[in-house]
Amino acid sequence: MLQIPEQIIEPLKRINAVYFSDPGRTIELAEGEQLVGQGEECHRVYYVQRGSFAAFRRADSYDGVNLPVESSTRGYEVFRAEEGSYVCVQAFFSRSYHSSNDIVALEDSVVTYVDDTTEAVDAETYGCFERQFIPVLVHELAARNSRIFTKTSEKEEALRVLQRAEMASTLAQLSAGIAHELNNAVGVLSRRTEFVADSLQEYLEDEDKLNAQLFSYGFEDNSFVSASELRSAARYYERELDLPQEAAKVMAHIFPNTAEGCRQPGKFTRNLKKNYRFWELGHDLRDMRMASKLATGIVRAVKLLGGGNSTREPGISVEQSVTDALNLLHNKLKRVEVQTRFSPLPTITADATELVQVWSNVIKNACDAMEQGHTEHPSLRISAACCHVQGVHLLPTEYISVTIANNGPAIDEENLNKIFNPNFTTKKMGLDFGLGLGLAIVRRVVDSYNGTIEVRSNAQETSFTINIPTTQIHGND
Amino acid sequence: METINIICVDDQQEVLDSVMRDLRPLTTHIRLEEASSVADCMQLIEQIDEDGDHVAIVISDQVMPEETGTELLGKIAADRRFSKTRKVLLTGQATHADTINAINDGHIDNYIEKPWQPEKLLAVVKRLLTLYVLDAGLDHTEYMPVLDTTTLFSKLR
Repeated sequence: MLQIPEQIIEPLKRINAVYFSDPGRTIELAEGEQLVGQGEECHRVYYVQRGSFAAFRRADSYDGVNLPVESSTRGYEVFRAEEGSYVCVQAFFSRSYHSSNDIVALEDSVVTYVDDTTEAVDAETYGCFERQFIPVLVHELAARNSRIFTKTSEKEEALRVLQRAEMASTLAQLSAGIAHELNNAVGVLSRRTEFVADSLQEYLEDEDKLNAQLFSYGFEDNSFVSASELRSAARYYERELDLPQEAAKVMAHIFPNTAEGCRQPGKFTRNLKKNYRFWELGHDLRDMRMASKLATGIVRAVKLLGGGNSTREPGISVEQSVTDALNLLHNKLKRVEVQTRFSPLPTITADATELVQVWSNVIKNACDAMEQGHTEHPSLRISAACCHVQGVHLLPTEYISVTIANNGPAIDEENLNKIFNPNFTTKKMGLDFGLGLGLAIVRRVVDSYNGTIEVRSNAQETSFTINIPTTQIHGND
Repeated sequence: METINIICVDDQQEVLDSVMRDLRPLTTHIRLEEASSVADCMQLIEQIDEDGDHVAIVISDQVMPEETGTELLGKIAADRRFSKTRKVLLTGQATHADTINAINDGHIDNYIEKPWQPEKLLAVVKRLLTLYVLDAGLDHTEYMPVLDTTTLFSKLR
């Protein structure tokens, strides 16, 4: 809203009463009607009694070539004149007498004008005509000032949005490129690891059964024994079975239970003492297989996010998309305990990229919140179930409901209403530069599926429940 | 002969295995131990101390669940029993602040970036081991094959 300097309010009232009250100089315009055109002669100053106007300016030159004004199309909006403002002030007082814009009524409006034949009223008290109209000029200056402030901040905002969009798009292209290259490399590693392991296993079977067994123990090692338990078992074997440290460690891996280990035939132990490296070899290949599997998962997820051109199709697994999101955030989740619980889910009609984007944004946000809140044992609980809703006619009835809950600090009520707004953040600016553009994206994507999001937050837990229909209504892509 | 221990700490078993394997040439004269977390390492260190053995070097990862490598090395630095213990941070993703803390609070002797070159890691560990053997007043002639001769001679001169 335009701030009118206080000192001119009273003088303006007089001017409006004295100069802009002649019914003979009052014009009514219908919505859309033009008051004056760009470049047209105009010897009047108009006062907007009622309604409003917009001024449009058309380009009068392009790349240094002058254009005839009539031939160029309607240009951009320059300003709006509301009730109580004056138009064509500059043309009049500069004596150029040509309007620099098309001025068009935005609604049914009424204006009153003065022109260059108007005489000064009560010149003895108030001075000459120009002197008397100084408040109108000040009003015009104030209007232009406020227009500049608004436009400048709008421009800054537009540039910021543009820059961010550009950054996101560059990142997406970059990650798609990297993912493609890595995919081939990781594929080679992953396949060849299997080949090498298979060949070695076959070779060892022919050569020496005991070594083959050691190798396969290493390759299939799947024990979840704590480091300290392993260590004490290894120390035990070192002492009791007289094994060197490395061999004892291998023994502890194969038989974490020392009673079971001691029951093994002497032949086995003697071979292990000499040939524990076959176990290590198998274990190395097992690690390589695991590492390439992890890398494959990350590459897949990055490719999905960078993809962009995929479309919604049936047969998409929600579980897989959650796994992809977890893979993508593998690093961020290092210090977080993750529990997933999926009841059997039907596949849905969706775009896998969009799903990954939704989950990863919510998960990433949860991680950031827990990190900022210095949550002591950060944990994430992800569950998914299929649910049925007694359908309102034409609305989908089958939904997949995914809940992502964290034990970070609660979102306070005031912020709860704002978290889905674009640009809303509680994160300190700086190094944090994520893949997603936050919960606003989540909302946009979920909305486009006719899905819903519920947020619950208290001191124990903050959870996001996202419901997505399993099928998309025809006509709503 | 007293046992000299070198402890490697990492929450990722595969990474831990690699470090242990790269340092295996030293096991002819010293004992290599591994720990999967800060708590695990503290427990191990206590046990070694109880047995009256030496903790010569602790090589720790930075990013681990619960507590970080810097916190671990800081604890060891603050413990007078382990004032001679040499400390190495082995990490792929320490932030600027982590690095500052590692130097100021963890008093680390060396900082090795992941992925590391095995020869370089081994050279650093040998150099630090030499310093420990000398500081602890042990008979260096018993450990010659696993010591860094340049460091040894420059200190003995």
